Amino acid sequence: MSEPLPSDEARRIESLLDRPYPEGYREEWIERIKNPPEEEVRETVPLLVFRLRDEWLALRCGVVKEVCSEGAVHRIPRRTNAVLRGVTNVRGELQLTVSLRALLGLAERKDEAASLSRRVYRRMILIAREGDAFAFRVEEVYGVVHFELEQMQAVPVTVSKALATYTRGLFSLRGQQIGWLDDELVFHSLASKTL
Amino acid sequence: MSDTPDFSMLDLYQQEVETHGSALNNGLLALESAPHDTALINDLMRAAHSLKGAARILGLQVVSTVAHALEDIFVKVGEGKLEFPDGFFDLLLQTVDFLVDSGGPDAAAMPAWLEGNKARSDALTQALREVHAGGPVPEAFRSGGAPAEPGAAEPTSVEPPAEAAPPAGAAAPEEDKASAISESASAPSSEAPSTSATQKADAPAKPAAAAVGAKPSAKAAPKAAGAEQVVRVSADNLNRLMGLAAETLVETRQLEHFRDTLLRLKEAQTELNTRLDAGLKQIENGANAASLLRQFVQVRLAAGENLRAIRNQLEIFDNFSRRNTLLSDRLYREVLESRMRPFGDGVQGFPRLIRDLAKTIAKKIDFKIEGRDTPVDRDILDRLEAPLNHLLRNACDHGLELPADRKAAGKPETGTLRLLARHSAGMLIVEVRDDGRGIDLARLREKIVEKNLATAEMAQNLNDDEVLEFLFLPGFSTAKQVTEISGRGVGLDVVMTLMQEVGGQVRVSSELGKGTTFHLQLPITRSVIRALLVEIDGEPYAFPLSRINRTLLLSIQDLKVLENRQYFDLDGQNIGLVSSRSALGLAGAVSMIARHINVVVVNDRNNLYGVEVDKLTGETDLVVRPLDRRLGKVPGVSAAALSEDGEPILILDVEDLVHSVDKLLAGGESIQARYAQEEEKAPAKRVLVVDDSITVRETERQLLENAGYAVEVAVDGADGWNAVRLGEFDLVVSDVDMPRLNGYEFVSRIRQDSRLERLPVIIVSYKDREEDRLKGLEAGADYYLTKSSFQDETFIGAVHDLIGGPRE
Repeated sequence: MSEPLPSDEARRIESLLDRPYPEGYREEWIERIKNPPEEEVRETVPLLVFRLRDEWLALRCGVVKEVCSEGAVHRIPRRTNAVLRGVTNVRGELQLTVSLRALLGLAERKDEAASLSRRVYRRMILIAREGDAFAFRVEEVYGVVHFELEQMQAVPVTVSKALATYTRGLFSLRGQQIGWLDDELVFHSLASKTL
Repeated sequence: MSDTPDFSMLDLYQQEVETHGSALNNGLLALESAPHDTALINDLMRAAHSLKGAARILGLQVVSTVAHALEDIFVKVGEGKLEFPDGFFDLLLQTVDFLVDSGGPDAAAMPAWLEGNKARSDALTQALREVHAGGPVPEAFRSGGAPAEPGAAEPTSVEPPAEAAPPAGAAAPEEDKASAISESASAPSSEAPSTSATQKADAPAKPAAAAVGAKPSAKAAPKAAGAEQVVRVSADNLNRLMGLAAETLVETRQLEHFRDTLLRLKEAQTELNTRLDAGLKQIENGANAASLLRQFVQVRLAAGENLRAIRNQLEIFDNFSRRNTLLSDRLYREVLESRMRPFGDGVQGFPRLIRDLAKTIAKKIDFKIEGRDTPVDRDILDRLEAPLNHLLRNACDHGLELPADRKAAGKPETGTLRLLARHSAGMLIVEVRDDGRGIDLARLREKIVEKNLATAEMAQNLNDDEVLEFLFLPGFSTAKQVTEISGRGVGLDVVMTLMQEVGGQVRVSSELGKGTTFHLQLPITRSVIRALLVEIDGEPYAFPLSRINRTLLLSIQDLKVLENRQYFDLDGQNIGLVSSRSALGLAGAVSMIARHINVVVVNDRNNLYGVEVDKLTGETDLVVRPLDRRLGKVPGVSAAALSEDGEPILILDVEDLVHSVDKLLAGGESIQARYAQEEEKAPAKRVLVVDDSITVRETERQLLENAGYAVEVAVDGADGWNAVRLGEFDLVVSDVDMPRLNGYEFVSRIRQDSRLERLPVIIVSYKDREEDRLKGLEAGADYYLTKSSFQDETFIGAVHDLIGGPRE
């Protein structure tokens, strides 16, 4: 770098940049800039995909504050019920912990859905909206996936009624059906069922 | 100076008023006893000047003219050209009150306040100018000779006492809003000494804030939920915190280096293993001894190298861990310190209070505060104000004698009243000490007998401390007459309760004729408590150590049962046993299988209770955190904390715990009976009422409930949409004009949902035009009614049409 190139070599390099452009090149670019190729814009939603027992579900990323390892849940005397489980420590703050499974009315079943990840860790997800935060346990977190709204399918009638109420639609991901939960309804219902 | 006031910077102005207002108040009080202190006068001048400037920026001319006149006075005093005429300080203090008041109203209330206080401002300016010119203080502003009548001053609404502030009386405004503000503000001198104890908390600093009501003091009172609370932290403290945070960051980077080294070690170890494997193979293949030896010497060398690296790393890590422990400890202490404020901050209003009080009751009082710099947790400081206020008033009113009486008793005419704060043995000690008449123990004993609290014989046998304890019983007042200053039915028991709430204690000692001392002992901070950890139903709970009398292992045989309650004997005293499980509503009662049970003996007021727990785990320091506000008050639990390994712990509310058991025993049967009754009823049909007007909502609810339907309500379309999907409703009644989601959209959403499409919907609206009706029906409503339908049977008739009677 520091050593100057021999003058004729430098000239040859410069001439490389000065060479005339091939025929039709300029026209092609004019055309392309005049009429940019139509980009296909598809509306997508970023969703956090997780598994509750044998159900694969997803929530809008906007409401997910944290995914963390599972901690001990302390019951709250005279407040703990099927949905409100207690308080737990999420990064030094005590958060209300709920059972999403009870809220969605998922039946206890032994067989678990096929895993999407190589390794499976039980996790805790903290969701929050307008200062109301809730943590809940999940069997597995897959990650954030951008789904195309166009590909959303309607909820089939076979899904249990309680779950269907909370589901906005279904996406499919690597052969699994993912239920997109209506966060607005989840918060509304959590607020009324926990307090 | 602009003509139209600009309120965008009002909160800054309020802060300024708070700082300078208290500087003016304190400065004037100091000046009264040291009239020639030039430094003091300069401070006062500066404060008045700053306030004037601030008021001008906002365009508050009513305020800035007064501040200006006040500044002129201080300038003249500073030049030594002004003697203090009679009532000089009264006038100036009233002026300061006015300035402080101006920091009270918020932007909405400000125009009305300005309007209402115009006359007061004029009167003050006029008086100040007269004094400035060398004239006497107008009679109206002298409160010394004719003390502002406390009788005329009720804590909430204050009539302007005629002789205290007639110019303000002229301002008695017509508008409701302005009148409420200026009335109370127009008599600050009479208001100050008579405001109730709690209100008093911010009265000296900003009396208007308390009076205006609509705008509570933003600084002392926690704001409504949602608004973020702002606290003051000293700049030093914050800087140290930043420094520590930065250091943490640097330290954490070291971990990366540590990981890299570990990785290298792992590679070296793998290589070592490969060599060993190769060596083994050579042995199997029967290689010669010399080459094997070479191989193993190399292995030995490599292993030695690894060991050295490990030793090295261990040392590095050891250092790291030591530094880190130290660092987090310092960080933690610093954060705790950020909660601390000097004691002096919380008691700023008292000198003024005592001065005004002394004038009112014609006593001479020398009031001193010692230990202003003592750091106190801000929570505790806030809570301390009310009890101290009470004790100080008591001391002024009952403790200290009138000058003549003092002289007769051979004491100096001026009584001394001291407020002391200091740290001692990890506790905050606050004392209120007067050199007044003291408490007559003989009289107190008589009183105890009189009130049937003990027999005459018992009263004689009680020792002095025990006798004094009676003062803290509810309804026990020794005051012969209830005066305005103190003793209006709230006794020392209130002080006791307030102290217990913050985990403190109060004692009193007294010597007849020499004086009385109230001795308050509080934890320095409420954010860290010493606690006993126990296990209840498999989960950790904590008892605050301050409430524990002792713990013991009780043999089952020592339990006695009386009227469904369990007792045991402790030092000859029968102590009720409470099962923590049943008190907390957890499964199971006192175990009868185990031979021994663990009991924590707690003191609740003066009674002892035994609380049975599953296991005593140990003693520890806990950082107290509030429970989630959404939970409300959880019975038996006061707060939460985290254990050393990050597990949640609930801190028990001892008082509540004990009482909830009492309640349980008293009301257990009736609760069961009620449940049985409710279950008999067949379920009624459910109707969802959606309307943003509470009146309409409640009218509809009543109509429907009277007809026998079960009703749920939602406050707007979006709320209704959530509710309708969750609950199983037979009918929806909805309004049209609602925020977030209007009635048409709401109904069409219902129609589009496969599970709800057949749900009957009635729209009830004010709009009675035909096209509105059509629009509603197009959206999918089954009925479109106007709100006039409530008057006759139309509404209920429509409901009946759609879903029939309330029950199948």
